[in-house]
Amino acid sequence: MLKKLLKYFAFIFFITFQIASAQFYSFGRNKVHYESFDWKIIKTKHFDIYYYDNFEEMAEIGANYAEEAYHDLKIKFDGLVTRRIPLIFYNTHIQFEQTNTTPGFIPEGVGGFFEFLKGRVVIPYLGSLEQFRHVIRHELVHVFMSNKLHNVIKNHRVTTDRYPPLWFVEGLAEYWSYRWDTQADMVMRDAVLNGLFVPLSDINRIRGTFLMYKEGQNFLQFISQTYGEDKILLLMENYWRFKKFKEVLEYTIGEDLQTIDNKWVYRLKQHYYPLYKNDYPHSIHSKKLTNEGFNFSPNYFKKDSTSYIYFIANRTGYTSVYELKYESKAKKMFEPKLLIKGEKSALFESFHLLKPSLTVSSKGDIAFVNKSGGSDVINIYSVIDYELKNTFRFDNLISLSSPHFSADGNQLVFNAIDRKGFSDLFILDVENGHINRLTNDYYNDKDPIFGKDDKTIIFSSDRTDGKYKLKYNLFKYDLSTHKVKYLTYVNANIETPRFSPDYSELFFNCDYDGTFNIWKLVKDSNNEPKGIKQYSKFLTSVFDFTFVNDSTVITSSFEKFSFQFYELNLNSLPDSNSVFVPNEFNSAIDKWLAKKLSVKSKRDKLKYKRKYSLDYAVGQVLTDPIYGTRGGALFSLSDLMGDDRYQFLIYNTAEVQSEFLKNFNIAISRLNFGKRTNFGYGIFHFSGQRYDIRQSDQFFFERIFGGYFSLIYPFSSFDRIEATVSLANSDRDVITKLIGRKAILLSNVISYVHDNSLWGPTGPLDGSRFRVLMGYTTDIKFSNVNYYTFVADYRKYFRLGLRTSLATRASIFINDGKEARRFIAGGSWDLRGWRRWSIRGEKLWLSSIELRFPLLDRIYIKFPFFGLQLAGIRGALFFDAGGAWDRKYTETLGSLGGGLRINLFRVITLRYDIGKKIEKNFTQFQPKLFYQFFFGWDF
Amino acid sequence: MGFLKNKIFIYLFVLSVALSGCAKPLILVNFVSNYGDFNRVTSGGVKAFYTDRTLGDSLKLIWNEKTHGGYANTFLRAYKDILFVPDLSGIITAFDFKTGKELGAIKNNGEIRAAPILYKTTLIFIVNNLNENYGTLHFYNLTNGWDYKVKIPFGSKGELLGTKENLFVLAKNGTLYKFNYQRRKLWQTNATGLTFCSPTLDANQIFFGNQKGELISVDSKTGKIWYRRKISAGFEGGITSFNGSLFIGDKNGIVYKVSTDEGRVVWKFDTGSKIKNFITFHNKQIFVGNLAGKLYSFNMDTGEVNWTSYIGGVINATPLIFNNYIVQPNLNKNTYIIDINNGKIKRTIKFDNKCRTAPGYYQGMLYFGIDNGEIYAYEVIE
Repeated sequence: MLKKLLKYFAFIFFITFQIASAQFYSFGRNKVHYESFDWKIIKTKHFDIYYYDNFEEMAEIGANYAEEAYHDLKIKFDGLVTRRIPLIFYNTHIQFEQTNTTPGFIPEGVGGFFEFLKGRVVIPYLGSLEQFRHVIRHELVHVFMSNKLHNVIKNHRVTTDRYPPLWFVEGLAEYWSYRWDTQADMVMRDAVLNGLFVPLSDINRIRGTFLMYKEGQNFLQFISQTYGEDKILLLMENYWRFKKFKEVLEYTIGEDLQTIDNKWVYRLKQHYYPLYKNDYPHSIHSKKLTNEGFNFSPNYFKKDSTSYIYFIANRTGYTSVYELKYESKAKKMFEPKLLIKGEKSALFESFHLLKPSLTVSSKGDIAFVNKSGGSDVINIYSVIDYELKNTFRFDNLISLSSPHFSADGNQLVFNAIDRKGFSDLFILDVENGHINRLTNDYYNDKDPIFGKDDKTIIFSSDRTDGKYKLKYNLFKYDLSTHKVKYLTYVNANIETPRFSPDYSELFFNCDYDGTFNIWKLVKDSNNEPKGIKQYSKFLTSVFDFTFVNDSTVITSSFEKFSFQFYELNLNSLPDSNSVFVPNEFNSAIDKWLAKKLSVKSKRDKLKYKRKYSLDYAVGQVLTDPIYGTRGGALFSLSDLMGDDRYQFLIYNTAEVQSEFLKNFNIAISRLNFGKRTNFGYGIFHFSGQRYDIRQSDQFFFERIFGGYFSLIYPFSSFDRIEATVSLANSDRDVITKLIGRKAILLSNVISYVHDNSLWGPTGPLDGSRFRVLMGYTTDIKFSNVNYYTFVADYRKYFRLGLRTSLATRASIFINDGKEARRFIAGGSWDLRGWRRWSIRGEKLWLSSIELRFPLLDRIYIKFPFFGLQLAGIRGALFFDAGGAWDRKYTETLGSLGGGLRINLFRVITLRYDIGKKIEKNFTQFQPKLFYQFFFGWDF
Repeated sequence: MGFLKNKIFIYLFVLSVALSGCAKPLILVNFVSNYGDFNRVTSGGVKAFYTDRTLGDSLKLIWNEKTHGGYANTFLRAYKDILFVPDLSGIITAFDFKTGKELGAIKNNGEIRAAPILYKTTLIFIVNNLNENYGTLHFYNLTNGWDYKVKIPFGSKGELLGTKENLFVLAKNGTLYKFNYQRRKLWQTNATGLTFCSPTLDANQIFFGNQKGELISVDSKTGKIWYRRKISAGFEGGITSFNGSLFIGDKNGIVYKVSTDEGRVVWKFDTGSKIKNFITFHNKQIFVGNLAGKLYSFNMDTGEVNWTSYIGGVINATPLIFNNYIVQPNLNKNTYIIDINNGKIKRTIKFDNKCRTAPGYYQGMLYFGIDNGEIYAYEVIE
């Protein structure tokens, strides 16, 4: 057993090495590196700042933010990080998603991270300097906290196998990096007022969610206000004293957790409940139009006397473009129609849900932004003809958002982030594709719309200076003079301006009273902007809205932790508490200037050169009464960007001292992910007893050494081609120490892989994945081995409901020729009911159909001294069929039954199946039932 | 690797692990001492943190040893040619002051943040216990290893205060205890209010500050609270007394001179960042370092700034004052030798880790406690 474990241990780490059976492979999407980044470094007093392209100006601003944050945090933490901290800046989120500093995929909502292995801080620039500053500080809090705790633990010489709970880690990072802002307050209001709030004693229920971040931040704010700011640092300085964080908390605060929790909840209720006096939920003054998913960017259009709303939403797990019929007096909710399927093909690779990304013209064209390849594109789609008319991609513009048509539908104004990191405004001529740049600076200019007669652009920007510096106010850009003028000057953030259909009034979202609501611009008798007047007073934010007519809007609003559409009559809102805020243009001055860190010396501005450091090193020595002692080690080195890696595996399977050198196993690989084509190559020497798949419980000795080279080229996130060639010398015992077999094996394998599947908790639920593989292995010297390989494995998932799916699989595996290796099947992963890996043959076919559904969302069993909770228990009903043979087909095997699946801690899925085998060439069921327990994801 | 099946190797392996985990207990059968060589008591004209020496330009590293745990920003004490080093893993290690030879260790389960006090053959120290909400005051007899323990609820974060006859312990919850060296508790006074302060004694009054920003005066004979005055946002560092005045820095970085008789603020100055260490003084100057890495010299009487010196890093530990130089450790792995008259850095001693403890001087030797449990001993060439 131990030898098998060690064998598969090596196998798992060299998946590109496909000389052996091609059965164990992976699907998966691709992290495509559309460009190679030409990295440069700025060295400051405490940081090495990595940037590329023309991002130098923003990098110098970021460097200043970092040094400021360092100075502040060393005082807060009463400690220093004495090593140099690598900060890696990406110009946009799209390029950030290509980073190799972390192996996994980065979702849209991730604004940066601190990576522990090499202590790297990796941050995308999202167009706003204030947000950039916030994220830099947030991640540096992680760096300092990690350093502090490490020192506390090390200096006290207590075990290091502990870390504070995530709510504290992220809550602290938010609390010590930024103020309590509108977004934070919106989330907490919603949670407290709608019964979604989770007390600290139960906070693991929302682990990893945005609510957890904000609850953590709020809780630390409460601790500071109630017990003193010094308690926050004390929580870390006392960390050594108790194993459980709960005890550290109670010791530091001096009260038990229940009391602290009660006080916190009481404080929150005191703060938020009075809001009901003047504010109201969306469901009170507006009519709900959608009920599921996350719905954004509503745009109204009437065609053929029927009204529709066009929008972007995630209702199934895939973000897509939808059309929703709208009738003002309708009593029921209409079901949206899917117009464009997102996240399944390269053209509509992914959407940006939280940014305004869709607009509709008077001609019935919708323009929407999505990611496709290495940048965003604008697609023009006709909702009259239901066809895609055009796709625009711009060479130096990476991230796009907020498209808006001119009145005649011939022009489109939008926001884009370029290679310098500047977030500016552009106008596209839809007919000829020509673009004009309107602004060119580091202020975040966003949400542009055309003014009346299309002669001006109204937009939101953080260029506000003076008394309300950095607030997002509205500005007017004159297209003839190219001058920018303040339209509002208030102590609030203003976004998403929208004209009424007749252009007589300008409405927008504003957070003056703590949450984004609908306000209007008020003009004086000279038609100059006088101030802003509040219209709605919803408890939670309006994110976006579109006019249906002069008095009715459709809003995309946040309530009960979802984003739904509401129909709102502006004239029906209570006017009694409406607020008017005058503009204070006297306090306004022109634009602010960002401070940069002055780096003049050539010594401090360098080109990036690869330096390698250890990622991890794992060693193990095992001993058992039968096989004696085995040992091995695996370690990995990579450069700072994670583009280039070296892996070393070494282990020994000798049973006696004399076999020590003979049974030495070693493999060295280099893997490079820096360019679009990933490649790897390596050498290996494996020697030891191998399990003979032909004969049960028999082993043969084999020594194999050689080298391999692999290439992977991704066409998109969903499709790739893989190719491997290997050459190895193989010496094997056919009959132990009597008859041997030598061969010099040359193996060539090529595969095409596709995967756009959407995963649920235990396996895929939607989409499809397949692999087609062809290979040829031959002994080029002794002609002892000569076989070809063909594998086709196709899996398709038919969505029946949000969490229910019908999964199908059809696979064929063929090795044909001399000394062709066998494939194996049987067990919980394919032919259920049959003994694991008991079905063997040089040819194998498998087919399955399985209904996957949710069974129990949550079950909690409370024992006298502890509680046990299991969540997300799913069920399955399945039917499997297959067969294996060498030369002649013998029989078809099958099984059918049902099972349970539980995902434990998002790491492993446990499976339990019950059913009946179909035996004797598919003619009869087994007399009794089989019961099979194992682990592993659904196919 | 079948040879590893051989049992003898397993036994040897286990034995070596067991032996390496053991340290020699500290028993000094022939140990004799009167009162310690340096002690931070400030009454009777004994000045804190000051040594009446001139520091020469040469420092020669004589020895460098390791202890088990790291250090708090406390003091290193040498008595009768033995350097006692308390660490955060709960161990006090004793070294020969000149050679660095380890003489033994006293092991406890918890952390020791404060410097021990020696009375005759008894070493007195306080341990904040692991997994517990209290500390333990130890009276450890060096000649035979007998250890008498007293439980101190909530433990203590400040230094012990020892006089010729008595010992004062300030617990974290604001309770002040008075013991005699015969281990008897004479009184306790609960001043309520979280405190990390290290108390000081001046003319029969004990003074300390707390997290609420109160300055509290307690009669050292009776334990009666004379006054408590809120003068600040909160205190975390030590309090120093001299000639009827108190000097203390608070968590906002404000330095106070306070009169002892009424607790009246004589003058104050805002340095901008938290002050955690003791304020030191010499020759009408007082010296203050803050967490932003700035060092100040003030006129003791008027509060006027004589000079400021930005050395960077974080100043957390109390400096040692010579007649000509200030020796200031910093968390940025440097210890600075600074001209006492103008604040200029004369020399920087670089270490591999953060400089944690206040430097100690004893019979021509200068000691530094560095992160990761390292002690450096330099010979001072005057």
